[in-house]
This record gives sequence, structure tokens and C-alpha cells, in this order.
Amino acid sequence: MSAHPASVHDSTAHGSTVPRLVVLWCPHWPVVVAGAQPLEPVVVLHANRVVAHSSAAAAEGIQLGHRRREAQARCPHVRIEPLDTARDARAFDQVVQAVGQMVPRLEVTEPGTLTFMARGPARYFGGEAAMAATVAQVAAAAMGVSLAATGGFGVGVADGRFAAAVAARDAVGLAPMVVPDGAEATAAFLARRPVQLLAEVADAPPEFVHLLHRLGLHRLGQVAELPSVHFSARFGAMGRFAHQLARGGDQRLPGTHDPPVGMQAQQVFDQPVHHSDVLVFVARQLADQLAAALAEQGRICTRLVVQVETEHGEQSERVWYRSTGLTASAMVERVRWQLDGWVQQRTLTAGVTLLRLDPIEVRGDDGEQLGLWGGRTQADDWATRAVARLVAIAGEQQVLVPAVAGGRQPHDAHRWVPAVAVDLDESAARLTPPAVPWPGSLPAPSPAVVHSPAKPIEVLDESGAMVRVSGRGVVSAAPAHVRTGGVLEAVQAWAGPWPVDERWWDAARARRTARFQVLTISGRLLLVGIEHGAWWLTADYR
Amino acid sequence: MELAGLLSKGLVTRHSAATGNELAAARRTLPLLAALAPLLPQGALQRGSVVACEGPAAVSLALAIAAGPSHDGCWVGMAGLPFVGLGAAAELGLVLHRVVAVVDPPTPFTEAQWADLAAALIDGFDIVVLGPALQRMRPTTVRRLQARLQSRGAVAVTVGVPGFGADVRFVSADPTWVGLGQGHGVARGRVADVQCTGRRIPRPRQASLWLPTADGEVSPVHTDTSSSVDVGPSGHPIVLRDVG
Repeated sequence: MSAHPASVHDSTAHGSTVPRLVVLWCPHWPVVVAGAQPLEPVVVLHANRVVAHSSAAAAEGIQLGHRRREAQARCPHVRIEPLDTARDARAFDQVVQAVGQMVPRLEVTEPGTLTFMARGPARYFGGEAAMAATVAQVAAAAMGVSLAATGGFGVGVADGRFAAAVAARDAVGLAPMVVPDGAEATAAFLARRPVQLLAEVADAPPEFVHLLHRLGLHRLGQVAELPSVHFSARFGAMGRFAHQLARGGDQRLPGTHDPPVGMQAQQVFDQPVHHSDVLVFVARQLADQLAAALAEQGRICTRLVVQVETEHGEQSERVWYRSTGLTASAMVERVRWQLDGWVQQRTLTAGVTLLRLDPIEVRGDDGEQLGLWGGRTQADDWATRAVARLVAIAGEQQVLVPAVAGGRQPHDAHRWVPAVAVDLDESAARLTPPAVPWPGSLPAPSPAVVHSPAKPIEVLDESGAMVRVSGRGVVSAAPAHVRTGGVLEAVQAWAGPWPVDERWWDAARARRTARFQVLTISGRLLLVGIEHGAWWLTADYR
Repeated sequence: MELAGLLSKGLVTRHSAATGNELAAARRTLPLLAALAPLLPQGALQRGSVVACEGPAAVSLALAIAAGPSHDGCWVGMAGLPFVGLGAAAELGLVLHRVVAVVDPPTPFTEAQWADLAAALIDGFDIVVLGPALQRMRPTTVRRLQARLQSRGAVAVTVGVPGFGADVRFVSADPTWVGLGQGHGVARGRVADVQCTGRRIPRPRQASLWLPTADGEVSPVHTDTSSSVDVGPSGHPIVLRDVG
């Protein structure tokens, strides 16, 4: 497809190049995987924002993008689950496998969304409607989980990714929806739809959609009526893209094209590999090579085929798509999902002999502006590679990176999370400090040593009896000595109690504690807490 | 923007002069926070060296030493320090998105595994902070790691690992916390004497530092005995304001 703006005007010539696609979409898939019951309000949060919710939660007024507090304010008994993309991908793999039996090349856009070309299967099954119905049946049979909480799934067939995805949304819980082919028919199908779909389906920036609203353009049909030139002039590439979609064009970002032949990176193993850790490690190297080779040409991969072959000739081939482009770490993540899914199927009988990453669609990397001094440095590359090596030696749970969690206690405010679970290049979500201080947390300076779990300690008064704190926060006597590990030390200064009454509404997780700072005669400053009549050493200002 | 902000706050020393010698020296060294720079003759950490932190403020000191290079774009790898307070690390100036830590699993790593891990850390990170879990390392392993450190040009900062022969030793002593009373107040900073000794440091250097200040940073204590200006815990003179 030519990406030249002129081709967008010419709808007839353009229409012939738009592929017929089938999209199978399970709305709010993470909620389904979290085991939501039919009428249970459940939300899945990522970076404190709702990324998926059940129908019951939506009925209470919860929307995508809400903060945790906003969601809880609308529905106090809502169940909150963290996002775990790897788990979602594993659960979705059953559906992918089942549909993969009838369709040659599947593309998993994200866990919960499947895309494939309609032409071949439609001929085989005798028409698009029949094919879509069969796919829906097969998928329904393969779903290992109940979709009742989110209203089922939808299958849509249309010209191009955008229209097919919109059709799949219409078909959720109903029969598959087939939109007639041709740009006019597609444009007519889209004309009465809201412009929000551009953000929800095609990843357009929300600000752009807001701007369209403020300009009085509420429906895609109104966008399509305007001349493309004006849209390009006013909004640049994004405007051209939106206009192209509204007129029934393909959801291929401008500048997308097929890569030159021979770009793939592969590794043949003379000794079959039985460990997925090793494969992921090799995948990291291949992905780095591939990303570097593409970056040299100023490109980024948007669609990637991951192929794995075993000694016994078993094959796993999967297409992965990401509209914003797959970075090296995103590619490795896809390989991991695919391997996890395959291992879970238990159809694997031998060691892996071949791993191949094949980019089948690339586009110019207009990229993110990372920093004034050139974004990614050599040190970043070295460190990212070292992390992969450390994980291979020590195991995934032993290599950790910091994340901001928020909390009153020193071990709550920051947490260590496994390095493999995060994208080291994208630290913004992981380490954005809270905009306002957490109420009840201790002021700076923070302790340099945090004991997690807390260590037992004894805090004694002058007479050698344990210091107690009443329910109203009254201290029985001034702390005079502390004893840790059998060593008794006199106290020269102290402050407290600072009571914390956390999660009092939840009997299982409620915590009630009073904190003190205690300075011993040797100059050690300790943060101690009393909980259920027992003293704990939480942190040490060493 | 990050760097500009730090320069304006005086946290990072600026290498503005661009003569050949100085540039080469800058390549052989890693910058320190401005408060710590006067303690070393070059004002910076020599690549390939081992820096030991000792005394009651050892952990804060190690984090503060790692903070300078961390601001400069270096990654910091930690091994055997499962207890580092990330809040304090961030306040001292460590850039958390360039920090990676390796911790012991429920069954601790063997000496050979720690050696492999330390080697991998040295290969990938400019600053490697090593903690007490690496205490039991054999002298031969330590020598091999030191050789690797020198060829790679990384700096090891050790806390509670006396087995590592240190090129530079930072020893903290006489910690005094301020702000805490008998049942009132809150800790608002600590003054500690930090002494720096080492093979290539002819005469020990000493400084009195706020480690940390009320904001959790590290700054020199301005000992101005001639005037009777009261020094607040942030290191700045307390200015009396008109109230009421």
C-alpha cells in the first residue's frame, strides 16, 4: 500500500487494496481471566487506572481510565485486581489454538483480540457469514472461562482492521456481523458511529478526539464528509489517518510498508533446548539484533511473526501486532507469551531447535522524544543485557527493580518488583511518584535500611516493663531501653506514637499500629511499631 | 532538564572545561555528589576502584556515593543488600529507574553463584553496590572480580564486606541526630563526620556532613564559628521571620 497522501483521495483505487479481515474480540478480557462472576463488579487496574471492568461494574458507573478511588467511590464493594498481561495471554491461548486449527495465520493483537484474513477461510467454509459463524462456535467451545461477566465476545468481518474491530464490538453477545465490502459500504457502516471509536479502537490520542468534539465533529460520517486536504493541513499525520479510517480505509498507519527481504533473525540450536529461560535469553539477543537492524534504517517493527520448532518437527507460529511498534523488550514479551501458551497446552514433546523472529510489517520510526541528550545510551543497553544475564543465573524472582507503590510504612511506599515483569525502557508508569504526599506517611529523611518482614524488638521503660500504647494512643511510660538480638541499649530520645489504622473496613487485611522513632545512646535511630501488643523493628536509619 | 536542575541545585559538579587532559580524566572517573567531592583528591571516583563504606552511616554513605554517577546516566547494580530503603535512596539522589538489585532466594546462593552474579553485575553496570551476603567470598574469587572491575572500568561500593580490599575507605563516625526530643519532635537530619582514607590518598581527608538533611539529601555542614548564626537541619542558616 502506498502511504502517499494522494492515494487517500482516490477511494476506489484505495478500496481495492484494503484487506478483508475478521476480528474476534473479547471485551475486558483481563476481567474474565480474573474470574469475574456474572453479576460481580470487578475492575482490573494498571498504574492506578481502570483498564478493564465487568458489565456489573459498568452498570455502577465505572469507566475505563478511572482512578482506583473513583471506582471505589462509585461502587465500594468492587473487586480490584492487578493487571497481569502474561496470565491474560496464557488464558487466551486456548482460543488462539482452537481458531488456529481452521485459519492459517493468526494475529494476536493483544490478549482478548484476534485478527486474521477473511479470504481463504471464507472460501473454504462457503461464504463469510458461514465462516464467521463457525469461528464463533469454535471460539465459544474453546473458552476455558465464562464470559457472562462481560457480555460474551463478538466476531466482525469487514474491510480493514478498524471497521472489522467496530463490527466485532457491535456483535458482542450476538451473531457475527458481516459488513459488505467496498469503501462506500464501509464508510456507510461507520458514518453514524461516534468519533470516540478512533481512540478506543485505533489508538488515536484522546486529546485529538476531544478536539474533534469541540469542533462539532461527533460522528465519523461528519469527519468523512470533510475534504482530506483540510484534515491533513489542520491535524497532520494523525488527521490524515483518522480521515482515512472514517472513509473506510485501512487501519495501517501512514508510512507502514513491508520490510526488505532477509530481515529476520533466527537461532538454530544444535543441542535441543528444554528450558524456556534459555529460549527467552536467546530471544532477547535476537530481538536486540532485529531492533538494532531496523533502527539503523529508522524503522520499527509493527507486525512480527514468532516461529518456534522442536526436534520432532512441532511448530508454533504466531503473528503479533502492536500499532505503536514492538521494541526489543516487547518482542521478548511476545515470545514469552507464546512459549508459555505452548507449554501449557502440553503438546510439546521435544526440545526446541529453532527460534525465528520475522518482521513482516515495519514503519518509519517517528518515535518518542526520549531526552535532550539522545534517549537510550550505551549504558542502558549494557544494563538491559546484564539484567537478562542475571535472570538466567539467579532466576526471575531474584532480580528486582524498584517501583513506587504508595503507602504509610517505608516498605509500602516503594516495592521491589521482578525485572522481567516490567519494561525497563518504560519506567514512567512504574516510578511516577504520587502527586501529593501519602497522608500519614513519615516525613523525609526516610530510613536507609528497611526490614521487610519486620524484626522483633523489645521496648522497655525505666522499670524494665514493656511499654504499652492504649487504644486512644496513650503511652504507658517513656521508652528507656530497647533490646534487639539480646543486646540492651539505653534510649536517649524518642518521639511518637504516630498511629496508623489501615483498611479498618476489611477485617482480613486491617492493620492497627502505632509508630515511634527511638534514638539509642550509641546514635542508632530506629523506627519501631507496636501491633497487637508486640513491638517490631520496621526500619533503621543507618 | 534533569541535569540542569541538578546543576542549579549544586548537586552535581560540572565538568565544563574541555581541555584534552581533563576530558580524558573525566572518562577515567565517575562524578560524585558535590557534597562528597572534596573528600577525594580528584573529586571523583576512579574507575576500577573498590570503595568501602563503614561506620554507623555506612548504608546512607554508599547510596550517596552511588547517587552521583547515577545522575550522570550510570546504572547501579546491587547485590546482597535486600534491605535498602528505596525512599532514602531516592532522596539521596539515586535515580531509581536505573537501579537493579539481586537478592538471595529462600535457600541462599552459593559462593560460586554469587561470584557469577557479581561478575555479571560488573559487566553490565558502572556502579556495583555489594552487601553482607557476599561476605564469605574466597580471596581468589575476590581478586578475579577486582581484575574484572579494572578491565571493565566499573566501581564497586561495598557495605559490610571487609574481604574486598578497598582502594578508598569512607568511614562515618559520631552520628548526631537532630529534631528528636523526649516524646516529641521527629528526626530532621543527622550530622556525621566522614573520613576518607586510601592507598593513593596521602593524608586522610575529613568532612562534617548532613547525612541526611531534613530533605533526605547530603550536604556539607557550614561551620561558621565567627558569627553566631544558628544552622538549621537543612544546612542553611535559620532566618527569623516576623510573625503576628
